[in-house]
Amino acid sequence: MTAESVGRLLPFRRGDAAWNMALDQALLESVDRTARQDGRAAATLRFYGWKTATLSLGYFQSSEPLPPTFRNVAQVRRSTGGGAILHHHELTYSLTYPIQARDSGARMELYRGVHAAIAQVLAERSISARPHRLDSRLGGDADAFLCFQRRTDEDLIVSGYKVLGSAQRRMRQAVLQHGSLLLRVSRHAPELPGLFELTSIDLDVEKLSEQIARQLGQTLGIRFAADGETEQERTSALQIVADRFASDRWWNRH
Amino acid sequence: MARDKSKLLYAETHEWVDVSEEGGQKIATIGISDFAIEQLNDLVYMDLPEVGKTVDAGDEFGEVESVKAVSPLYSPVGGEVVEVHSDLPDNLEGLNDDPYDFGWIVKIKIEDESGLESLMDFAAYQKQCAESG
Repeated sequence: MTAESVGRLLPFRRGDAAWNMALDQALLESVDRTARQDGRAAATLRFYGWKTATLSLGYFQSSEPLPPTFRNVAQVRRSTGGGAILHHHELTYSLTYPIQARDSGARMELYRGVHAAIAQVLAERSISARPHRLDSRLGGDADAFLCFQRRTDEDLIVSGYKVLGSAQRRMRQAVLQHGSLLLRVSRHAPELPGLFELTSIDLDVEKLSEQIARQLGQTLGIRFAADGETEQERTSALQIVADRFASDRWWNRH
Repeated sequence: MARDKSKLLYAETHEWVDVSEEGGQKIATIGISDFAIEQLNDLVYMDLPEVGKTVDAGDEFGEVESVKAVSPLYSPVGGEVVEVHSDLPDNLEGLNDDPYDFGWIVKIKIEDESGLESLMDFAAYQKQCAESG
């Protein structure tokens, strides 16, 4: 990648569960299609929040039995892996990135790159967040229902608590990575403190997302320029809402 | 008899293909290479297609999850799924140990051989893997 690469930035907006997931899927399909047609495609970085508290399940995670505490929040199944997430007071990002068809499995360099950029932005706010791999003796439960009670190498940890986790979905020539940065505790998951509870620092999502976009741009060698989704992506996302993320069939698939 | 990986064909996306004749039909047995399994690193889930499903060459026929990443599996040939290795998703460690025999994933009755032309022999596939690091 050259230093002149230009990427697309979709600034912070709140959406409902099905829309949030559907737009990420539409962006993935769009970047994959462009990469396959043209041999290259612009990376797309998006920031978003959740209109109401939402439980998202990992793609392969079973929807039964659902812990009772989550039965009265909005629900959606993600297309990405990992465990369940209670999205409430968080900053969510997605990065859709062109890859080679021959690249296999999880793109670890993207986990590392995005998390390092976010750790750098937090460090500038005097918050020390470190990847779990540096302190891996501080376990986590691999089988926990909630993703934030599990640990993988690149998760960011503050004072022993996971504050950032990400997951991926691949297509032939693009990968979607999205992740959640916990800003404050949710009453629906009181066992998971956010950055405010851990540091007493109150972060503004819009300023934070702008800083992350700049830092991530430096990390990846991409200048992210603010834009919106295309009309085609928007139309596609609306169809994906109906076909997938708002459907009972999708929710009950595992 | 154990399958010889140097005699198989390979897709760019790391599926291996063993073409055989059964009852006058060409059958493609498909799995994923040891290189891909190593790259996938800690495979935790696999979804298989249903017997009877038809696929075109290049279509997805299944999905796997590793390190919170969901990745599709692509069929190198077009045809009908005639058998799936249904024990495999519950025994993924066996895929790591024996990707070319125990690790077969599906058998497809080939109806469109055009996909075979784009596959690599073992030497070409090894070269691709070496370039991928």
